[in-house]
Amino acid sequence: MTKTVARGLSLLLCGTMLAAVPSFAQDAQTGGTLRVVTYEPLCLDQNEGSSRNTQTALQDVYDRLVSEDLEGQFHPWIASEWSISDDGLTYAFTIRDGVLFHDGTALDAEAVRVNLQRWVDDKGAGGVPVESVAVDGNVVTVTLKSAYSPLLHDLSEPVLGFVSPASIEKYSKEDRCTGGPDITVGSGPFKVVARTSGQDLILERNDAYAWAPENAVHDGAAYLDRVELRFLTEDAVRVGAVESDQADIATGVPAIAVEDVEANANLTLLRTEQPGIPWSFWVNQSKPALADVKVREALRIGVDYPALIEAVFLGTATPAYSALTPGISFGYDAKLEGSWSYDPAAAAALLDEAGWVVGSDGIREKDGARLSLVSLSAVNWNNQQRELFAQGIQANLQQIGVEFTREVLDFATVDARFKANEYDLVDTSQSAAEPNLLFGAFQSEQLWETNTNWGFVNDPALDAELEAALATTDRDERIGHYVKAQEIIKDNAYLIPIANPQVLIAVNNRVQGVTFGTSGQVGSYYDVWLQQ
Amino acid sequence: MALAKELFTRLLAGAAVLWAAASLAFIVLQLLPSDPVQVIYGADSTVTPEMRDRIRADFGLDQPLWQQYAGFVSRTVTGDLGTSYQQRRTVVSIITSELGSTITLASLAVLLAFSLAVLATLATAGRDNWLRRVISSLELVSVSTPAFWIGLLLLTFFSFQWPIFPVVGDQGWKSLVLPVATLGIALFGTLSQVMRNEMDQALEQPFALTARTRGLSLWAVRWRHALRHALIPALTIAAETFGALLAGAIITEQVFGRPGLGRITLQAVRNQDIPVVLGVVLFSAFVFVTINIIVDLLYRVVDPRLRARA
Repeated sequence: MTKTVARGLSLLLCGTMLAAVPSFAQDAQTGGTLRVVTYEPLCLDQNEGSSRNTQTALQDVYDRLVSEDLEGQFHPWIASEWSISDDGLTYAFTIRDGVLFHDGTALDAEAVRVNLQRWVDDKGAGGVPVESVAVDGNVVTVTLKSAYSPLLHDLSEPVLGFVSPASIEKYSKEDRCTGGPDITVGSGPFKVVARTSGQDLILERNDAYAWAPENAVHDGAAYLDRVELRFLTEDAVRVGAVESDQADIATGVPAIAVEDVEANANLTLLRTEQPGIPWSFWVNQSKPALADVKVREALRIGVDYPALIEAVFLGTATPAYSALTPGISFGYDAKLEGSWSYDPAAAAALLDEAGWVVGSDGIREKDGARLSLVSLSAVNWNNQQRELFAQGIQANLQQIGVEFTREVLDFATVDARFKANEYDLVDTSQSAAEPNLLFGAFQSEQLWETNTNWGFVNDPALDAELEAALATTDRDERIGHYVKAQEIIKDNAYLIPIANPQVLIAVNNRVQGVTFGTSGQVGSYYDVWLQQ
Repeated sequence: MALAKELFTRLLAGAAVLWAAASLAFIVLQLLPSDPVQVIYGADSTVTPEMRDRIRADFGLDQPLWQQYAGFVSRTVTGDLGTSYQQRRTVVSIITSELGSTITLASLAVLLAFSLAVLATLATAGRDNWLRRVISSLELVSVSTPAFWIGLLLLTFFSFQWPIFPVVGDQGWKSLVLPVATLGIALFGTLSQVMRNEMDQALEQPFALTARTRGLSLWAVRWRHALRHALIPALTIAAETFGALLAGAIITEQVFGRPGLGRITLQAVRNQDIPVVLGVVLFSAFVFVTINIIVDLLYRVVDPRLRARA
């Protein structure tokens, strides 16, 4: 269902907590230009080529059906109300009156249907089992083939922002991907006024805006006159730009710059725990060595993860014990924290028990096979810290007689290796606000090609919890299932969580009201204002 | 007549090089283990088998390999380089829209590097003094320092520390200074070393002495006579310089967040956007061939001895 990698990546950003600088609507000042240095979206048509960068860049240009807050609760937006049938198969959304796209056409029920149908046709609804989308008056009804409880979450995501059907008809795919004023047309609080590929995307306030989501801080038009998104790929350059006051906000602050930013009296460092699955090892159980739970456990206690986190992440990550990060909007099981600790002697004993004996070169052997593990990762999942961290893991594992190598390859090569089942471990993190992420990563049928069960996990008890959580929309029931799922994953060491990454943003102190979005990305600029 | 014949031979050879480059790139890219559908679709959501088939058909990936190759060659001949997997735009439109920015950057950088190299050569060739040692060390630093680092250093000092030149957005000539300096400095070293080496030799030739005995000043000998000699190797490495420029542009555009061919190349390679990679390879080969032809013709202008022989 909810697939995976890119999706994982795109959701990299769902966050909870630590909502930035407190802001009060009554204080807010109108006007000014907000200068943001960030990553560049490749294609501005979210249906054609959608990435996390596109979604973050355009989250204020497009409105969505419903709005999700950081606790995973939903609020009216373009849908003024909705109802869900008892069997969880039929969702009826009442579309709010008077909403206009930037080009003056109406965002009515028909426009919503066109957008949803396009999502179903072009993207297979991102794996959501949609049966049909129908319109009756101002009500749009989505019918599902089978119950899928994260539907509201999916509909609240920036990728499902509504595009003016007139602009879809008028412009070619190529034009829509390039984007620009009149082409990239939504109904959001900001509209696109200029786009220079490779350089910037300039947004201007939509003065007609009167349909903010119910959970926004204020009503009416946005405070800022203009938002300038400037694209700088190099971490050091983005940080330099915000430090030298050439920008007001820098996203993606690297751990190494944290100290500098915090020491700068003009800047505030905002951080949030990335929602989703921690940076972890997926353990390939189709490999004989790793099919043995003792070996998996040895990998978990044979490395001093907390010490490495301290040394490498410099306070920008915390040790992880669950298959979900504390940043997930709901369902995180804090009881699991501290479930194990570094114990190389016990790890060695486990490997002995499993029949792996230390050979002449210090690496364990069993039936002529060496205990040599290859971990795969893709270039775009990697960063400097992970690179460094892996060296620490290698050293730790060497001491208990396990040979560890980590290969970081381009995505397409990694994809091929996954298909050929040529890997022992996969190290990556996934991000999404929705705990249903676990379904794609651990349900027995969600193997690579459709999803990210790289470990070939096949556990009926786990499947049952994940499927039950998908079938009910009752929040407490879902939490119960996900807590159970996390326990099963921990007990069987199906996943070896390493660290909960944080998302870091440097913000100039004159900028007020910056928050994180549900995916951990920098939040909407709708409520943001500049102190003049 | 001889010139026309030579030009014809050159053009024919150039076309052969282009065809070879295109074919080689096509083959190499086919050898990659990647699945284009995954690249086209991004890893964004589930690709159903029907969607996979549709994408394959859309991009002609369902045809046998030889047919794909034949299609690629015949389309290329008509100037159609296909459509980007990731941007859904035609490769021609991507290259043309990014080209201007890179040409501005590259030509200014060449101008800077060349001017610096001429100055350094005139000032130091045939001498052995402190100035020469200082300049040679600078050249060494320029040759051995990665452009990436030069760029970051320049930014740290002239944008972050002292906000003279902006790093954010396009602010006209001011936004060009640091990128041009980064790329120019990286080129300067090689160019200057090669030119001085040649001028050193020229100054030892009897004609230099003769000119001096005619009463020409040392500077005049260098400027009017020896510099021409120094230009020949500079021309010879012009094609190589173009390669260095493209490589340098990749890094410079990345560091400074500028649009351009370099940035597009890096993105395409990283994302395995095969049509764009092929397009850039072909375009580079085309420029490479063109430069070499022009350089061969220019030799005649710079070096009259060749004209006499031909």
